[in-house]
Amino acid sequence: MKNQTLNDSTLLFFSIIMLAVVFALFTSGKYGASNRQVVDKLQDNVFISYESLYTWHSSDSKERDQLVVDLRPPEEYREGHLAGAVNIPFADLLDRSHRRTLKTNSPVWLYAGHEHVSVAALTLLLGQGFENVQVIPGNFQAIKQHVVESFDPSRAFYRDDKARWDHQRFMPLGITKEPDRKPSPAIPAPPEETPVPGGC
Amino acid sequence: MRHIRTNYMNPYLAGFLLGLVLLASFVVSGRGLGASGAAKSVVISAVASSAPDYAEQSAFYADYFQGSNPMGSWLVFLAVGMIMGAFLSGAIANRLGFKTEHGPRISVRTRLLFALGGGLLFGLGAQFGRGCTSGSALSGMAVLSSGGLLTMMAIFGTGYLIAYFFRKLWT
Amino acid sequence: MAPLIPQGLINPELNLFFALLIGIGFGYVLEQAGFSSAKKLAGVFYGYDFVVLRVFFTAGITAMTGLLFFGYLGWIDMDLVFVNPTFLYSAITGGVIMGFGFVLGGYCPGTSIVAAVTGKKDAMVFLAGMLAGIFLFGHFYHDFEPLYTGHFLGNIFVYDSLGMSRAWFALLLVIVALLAFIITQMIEDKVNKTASDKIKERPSYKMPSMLLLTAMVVFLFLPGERSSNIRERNPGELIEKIDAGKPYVSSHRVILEIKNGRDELVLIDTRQQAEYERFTLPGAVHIPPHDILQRRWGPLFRKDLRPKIFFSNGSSNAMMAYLTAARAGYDNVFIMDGGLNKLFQELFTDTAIPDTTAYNLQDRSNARFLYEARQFFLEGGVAAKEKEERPRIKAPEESEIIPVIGGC
Repeated sequence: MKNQTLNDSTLLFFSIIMLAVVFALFTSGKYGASNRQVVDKLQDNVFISYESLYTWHSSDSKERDQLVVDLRPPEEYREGHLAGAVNIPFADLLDRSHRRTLKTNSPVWLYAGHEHVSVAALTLLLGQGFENVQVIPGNFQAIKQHVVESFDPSRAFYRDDKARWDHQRFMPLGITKEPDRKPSPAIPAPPEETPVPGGC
Repeated sequence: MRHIRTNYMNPYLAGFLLGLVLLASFVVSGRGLGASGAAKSVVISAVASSAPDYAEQSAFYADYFQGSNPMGSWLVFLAVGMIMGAFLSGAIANRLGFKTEHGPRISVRTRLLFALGGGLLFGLGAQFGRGCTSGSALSGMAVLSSGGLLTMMAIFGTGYLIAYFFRKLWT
Repeated sequence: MAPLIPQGLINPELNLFFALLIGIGFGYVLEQAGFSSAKKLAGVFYGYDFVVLRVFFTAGITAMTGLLFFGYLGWIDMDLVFVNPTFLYSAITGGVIMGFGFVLGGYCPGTSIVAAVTGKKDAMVFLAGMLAGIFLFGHFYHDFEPLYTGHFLGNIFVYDSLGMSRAWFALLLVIVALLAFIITQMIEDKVNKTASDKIKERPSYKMPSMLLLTAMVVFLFLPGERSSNIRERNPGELIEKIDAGKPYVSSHRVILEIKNGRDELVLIDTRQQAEYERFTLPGAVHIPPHDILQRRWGPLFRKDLRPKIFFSNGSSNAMMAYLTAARAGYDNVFIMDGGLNKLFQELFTDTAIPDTTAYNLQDRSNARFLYEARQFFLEGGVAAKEKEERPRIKAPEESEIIPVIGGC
């Protein structure tokens, strides 16, 4: 004796669920590392110093152990790039051919027109399971100025993401101890900086 | 011996279908089923509209005065749907008709009296439990909420503990 | 994807229509199961008819299994599903009172509606009693309130309370239910003195039980990591977005928000803890990239419909936060272009008074905007507006889950 309706309907229900699970397990291969693994990796020092870039830049190209990647569009790359850098435009970062280029045992260093584009590429590459990827801080202009044209040891550990001012002084918030205190009127000029070419 | 009608749906099939209805409720509206909520809306809107002075003094009616119309709520529409669905099912199975079911040892009058008392207790309890057997216990079980399962165990635990003393009502 | 209404995938006005449809299904099944008979319902307490237990448990387990798998597949966002809050003693008190009500009245609210519709007079009386009970609760609400709202434990899950994993608890619950079905059937047969040839005619439930058990065991062994992957955005999609410049929000927009003090954006500081403590934008909440994926921030990203703006000193930390959030499927997230450095450079280093003869109207209004903002900030306008607590959004406890919509 069977209860045909119950059997059929439960079979249908569970088959749909199981099929969906199997389908999901086979189609979710877009990433090579979980989001959590990526954030954990981002906590490590993912930026190289200008000093090591300078060492790389002044060394003989045959002795180099690093792959430097220029993420800017091909036009900008053609106008000027670090000698020895490979061009992989950010938009095509995950193309199959570029993937093969990136699959090396040597460290991969990224730079772009903006530091945050390099960071975006880094995050995405870590997500693909690449491990040995780092970012050259600053944009191409800054790299060119401080490494290629004249190496400035005071900028050896340059970071674009460093605070340029003591923000607290300009924007007094409710948390200051003396809320009535007027902020210092003298506004220091910002540290000399290469102009950021346009917003994105 | 009691005669139990057998033209009801297989209980497991009915349960499975009810589970699918509950699942649909979660998928569409992100919430479970509930029946006592509609009754609460009825009470709130009836009291608050007929005796606003009285209702204003109690925080229980606060929502009503904050501009939300309790009769337009999700649970009220659910209850309206339940009425339609039950009528449909009763009509198809030919189970419609006025009558009072009572145990063999009590009169209709006693049965109605106890039904009133039971309803009163259930109405009160459903407020504390934040939902009745369907709103708190069944929906709570589906999402594995601690409160829902606790309420469910309290309902059935109490039921079994006291059933013996009220056996005259039913057997 | 689901739940459809809270996600805004269906017009909320249709919600009531769906409530009606679901109600029809609910009422129909209850009546078909025989829940319009108080004698049948009360049988669960006296052993002569366990139909309540069967229907109830089967429904609960079916819905639970469905929700487990739908949640795993990313079909339903469990953070948006209403989870009954747990008020410890109120829940127990309510349950005990309802237990009495069940035995005395023979109905519960849902079944009494169904029974009343099919013409049971006792159910109609029960309903009237229920309305009176609710009125009574309202009348003495003041006295009940400490119990009613006391001992709030959050919207907690029973597997967390027991310290088990969800998959194990679900499997356990299924086994308990199946055992309960078998045992109650035996009790019922004994009480009703069912003839043995009738027992043999009874349908076998081996197949549905096996399907259910198999599904729960499969759920136990599903790889956990992937559950978040299905909801995740495709990397190609993210690249396209960034390449098209979609994630960037001008710092002017942020200035406007601070100046007007309207609560239109959620500003998220992604810098170090020390930097945040020293200075942050008014109303900003601190979530470093590493903390984005914490479950406690889920409600902020999913339920708060305001645009979320990540900022850091430059844009790099904000980009890490953005990509983490965007990959996790959190929409409506942005990066403040250029970060605090650019914002301060624009506000405080370009001191020129707007040139009224400037040709370009756009430039002129831009300069005027920045000039006014600068005056506002230098005169301590922010401090005046920033009397309220900082941050505006309180960091929720790691384990807490915020409910969306009230239940019944």
